[in-house]
Amino acid sequence: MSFFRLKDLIRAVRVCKTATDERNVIRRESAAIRTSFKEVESQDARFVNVQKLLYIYLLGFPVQFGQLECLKLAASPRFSDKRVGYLGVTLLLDEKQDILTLLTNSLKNDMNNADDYIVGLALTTLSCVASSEVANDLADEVERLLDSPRSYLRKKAALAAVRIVRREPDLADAFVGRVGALINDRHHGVKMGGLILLEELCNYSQEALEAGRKLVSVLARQLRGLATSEPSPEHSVRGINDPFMQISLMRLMRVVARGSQEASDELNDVLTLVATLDDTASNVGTAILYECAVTALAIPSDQPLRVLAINLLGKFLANTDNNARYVALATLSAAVITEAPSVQRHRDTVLQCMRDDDISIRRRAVDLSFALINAENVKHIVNEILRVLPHIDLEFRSSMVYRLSAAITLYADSHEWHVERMLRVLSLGGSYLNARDLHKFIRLIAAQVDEGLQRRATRISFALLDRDISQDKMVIAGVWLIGEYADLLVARSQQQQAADSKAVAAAKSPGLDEDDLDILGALGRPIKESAPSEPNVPAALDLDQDLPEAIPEPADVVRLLSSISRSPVISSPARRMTLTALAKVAGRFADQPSVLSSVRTALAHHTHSMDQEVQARAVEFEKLLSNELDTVRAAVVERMPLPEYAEVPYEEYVLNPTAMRMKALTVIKRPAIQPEDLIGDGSAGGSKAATTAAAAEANKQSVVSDLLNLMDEAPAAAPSSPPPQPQQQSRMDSIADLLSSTTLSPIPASSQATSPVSESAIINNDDLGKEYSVFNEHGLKITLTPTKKPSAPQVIDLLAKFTNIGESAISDVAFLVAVPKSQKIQIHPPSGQHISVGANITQLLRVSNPSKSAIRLRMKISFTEDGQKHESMFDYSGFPASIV
Amino acid sequence: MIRFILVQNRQGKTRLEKWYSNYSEHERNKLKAEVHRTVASRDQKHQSNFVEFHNHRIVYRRYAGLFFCFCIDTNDNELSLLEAIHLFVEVLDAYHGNVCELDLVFNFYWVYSVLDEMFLAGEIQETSRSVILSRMEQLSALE
Repeated sequence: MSFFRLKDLIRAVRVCKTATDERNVIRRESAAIRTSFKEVESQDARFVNVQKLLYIYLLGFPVQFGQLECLKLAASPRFSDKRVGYLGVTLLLDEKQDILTLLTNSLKNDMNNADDYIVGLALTTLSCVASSEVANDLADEVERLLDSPRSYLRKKAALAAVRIVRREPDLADAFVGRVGALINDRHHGVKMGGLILLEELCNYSQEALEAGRKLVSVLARQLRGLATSEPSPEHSVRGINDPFMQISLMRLMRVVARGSQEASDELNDVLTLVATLDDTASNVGTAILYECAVTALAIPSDQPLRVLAINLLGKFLANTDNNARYVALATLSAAVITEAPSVQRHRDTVLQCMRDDDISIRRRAVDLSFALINAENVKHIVNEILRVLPHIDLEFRSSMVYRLSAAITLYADSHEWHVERMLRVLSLGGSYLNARDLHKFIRLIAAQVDEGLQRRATRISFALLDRDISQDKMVIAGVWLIGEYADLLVARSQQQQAADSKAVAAAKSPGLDEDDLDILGALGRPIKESAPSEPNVPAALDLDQDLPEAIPEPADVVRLLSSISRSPVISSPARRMTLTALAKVAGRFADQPSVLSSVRTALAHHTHSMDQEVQARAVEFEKLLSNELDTVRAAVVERMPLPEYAEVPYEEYVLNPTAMRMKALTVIKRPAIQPEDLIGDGSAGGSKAATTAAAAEANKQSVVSDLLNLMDEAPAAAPSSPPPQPQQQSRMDSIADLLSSTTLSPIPASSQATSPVSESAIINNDDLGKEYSVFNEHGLKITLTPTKKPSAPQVIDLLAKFTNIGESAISDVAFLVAVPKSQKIQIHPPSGQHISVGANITQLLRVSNPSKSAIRLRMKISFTEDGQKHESMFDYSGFPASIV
Repeated sequence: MIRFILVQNRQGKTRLEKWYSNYSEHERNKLKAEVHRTVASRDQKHQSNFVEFHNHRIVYRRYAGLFFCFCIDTNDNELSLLEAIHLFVEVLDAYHGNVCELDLVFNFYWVYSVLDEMFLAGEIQETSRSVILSRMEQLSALE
């Protein structure tokens, strides 16, 4: 059964109680329409059917089968048929469909029709669905209609031309000659169409741009006329004369005057006039001012006008209207690149907008706040952003944390501030920090020559973790610091004690709340094992206060780490890191049996963990802490060398992605702290300086090695060694295995007394520069030649020379060296891995020996000679006592 | 330019749609659902009338139970488009006299006529209320 009229169908659909009923009605009706299309060839039936079909389409049901019927209906001579037919075409067809070419002919006929209404209909349809093919075919007709005596058709033809040019930019030139007449047309709608057409043409045609520049004075005169004359009743909106025309004029001005000083000068006065005339009381007024500001900023206008434009936008920010604030923030973000000083003046308003009710405004305000950061205001803005970070929408946080760490890294004036702010970022949004920034931060601390900063960072981390372990990256960074610098965390020499008590006194200065005092009092307070697992949200840290520092006892350190490791809220990597920290703490306080035993207890808890990695770590460390490994443990848990890390600089527009999108030409160079600056010169003396200098060098060479990663980091030199392990924990295992499986006596963990030799004596030592033979087997002879540089008396360079004294070539040479704990070694890449008969290769070993203990080397050599693989491990301590 | 115009009710039923850019059937349906989700969930009192939408921006205004949504380029003047929406609704109101959702349902084809008189090729065509209304009268006289 079919409904006779559209109205009946609509009623039938409306009385449906459920979606199923509705679907049934539609399905039945669709079927009836389809049958009717097939059987009845009358235009009347088609008219009704297509009408009903369009309604069904609007309800969201598929009606593609009716496309052809729409075309047929459009070909009917009757106006009402055409109207429905063309409506169907615009709704059901998109320009990708082949069937569209069938439309070309009927559009062409209709555009030549004597009836203006039909011509108008055809132009409307063309403006909606023209594909590039149709555009090519009908461009001539449209061009002809631009001269039509009827303003109604000229108006529509102008916009149809816009569509044609969009689809087929090559046709742009054909219309350029016409726009002048359109813009000067008496009729309002035609004039507006002309403005839009010219704006579009300028995108594709240089000729149009030149034509537009010739019209600049006309545009300026028209805009001045609109802005100053009495509002015409027909086009004014809320007392403002023809806002849409004013905006179209300014849009066009923006396009033609961009990059033209001459045109901009001509527009300067009229734009200043518009900027001062209107007010922001109504939406239309704001719209005009907004367009004016955008235009003034986009063209090379005078400085006073630019400042005026920025101030207009600044005024929008104070507006109660959300819409005005929104557009102002968007425009200021783009303008900050070129107009930084004027935009900075509105900084506080912008920062305030980060707390707006509207998420779009918050998003923009956050973007703009970051864009405003420079070396002078970085502290203020970073503080403000940190203040909103805990309250802002979750979706913004990771990008905010990323940009915060970028801003802090780029603009930090001191490492203290850098570390302190990063710890705050970590504690407030640590879970959102990406791994690269985390590593950057850890590396920064590890690279510090000054132990004071490491101590402070570790103590702050301890206090922060004691409060809250919900931020995953904070846990990772914090436990790493605690494990690495546990000795600094608790060390209390007399001087330090005095300094600490001062620090504590400072921290206890007025304004500190109960909670903070409690944290500071955590020294002797036993930490409840279950505390971190409780979902208690700690009070936010006051940004104006120093971060709390804790100076715990070793037992407290173990207790905190143990409770963190058991907390259900932390991630698996954080848990593994915590276990590593525990193992390190055991090494740092090896002289305290109580610490050792509580670490064992803490580790034992995880030996049955469901997480395979965690369990593996726990079992390994438990083994490491057992008595039979007493002698090697200290070496294994030795402090890590400066982590190797390829510095990836931040992108240029990290703080202002809007500017990047706009491909702004201005390039801002920001001073960045160079890694070299962090490292003291080796000649500065002091053991720390020497080791870090050596470590820095090692980093440059991308080969750093010491006892801990001996087995892993040498793949360049030792292809036969086990593949590198991703986790540092595994490195420790592998070296532990290596050492425990050998029958040789372990290297003494600490060296005996050293003979005091003056520095100059060391350098002028005769024993230096001689060759010491250390190995001679299977045709391979290894000699070591020690040398020293006067600038670094603690560092001994050992040049290893591998000479083939046999009768066949030697290949796959891999040489590994380890030194006692008190010394550090750095192995440079060898000059080759293959030695032909009689030839030699060399490899530089750099031993840093700040404690002047005797040089002892444990070496492992593997090579292939005559197809036979040889491997040997041996010790050497035969250097004269003067070489230390 | 205006990419598309949608008029939807609070349940997400589309009462009017006009596409000025090329979207396939599938994309259109996806966009309709997405626009509804984006716009209907916004707080009408405390939020702006603009919302970022993919690489474009939606300017919308709510009249009773209907959302009038215009998807525009990011370099367009949002405030003026907002004014244009209002003008469109005023014209609908003047033509039909206190227009409501049901009027749009029953008379969707003349709503499209008004739309085609006001907007063309994704641009504002006519901003004079009287011109549009007299044009509409002439058209209905032809039926």
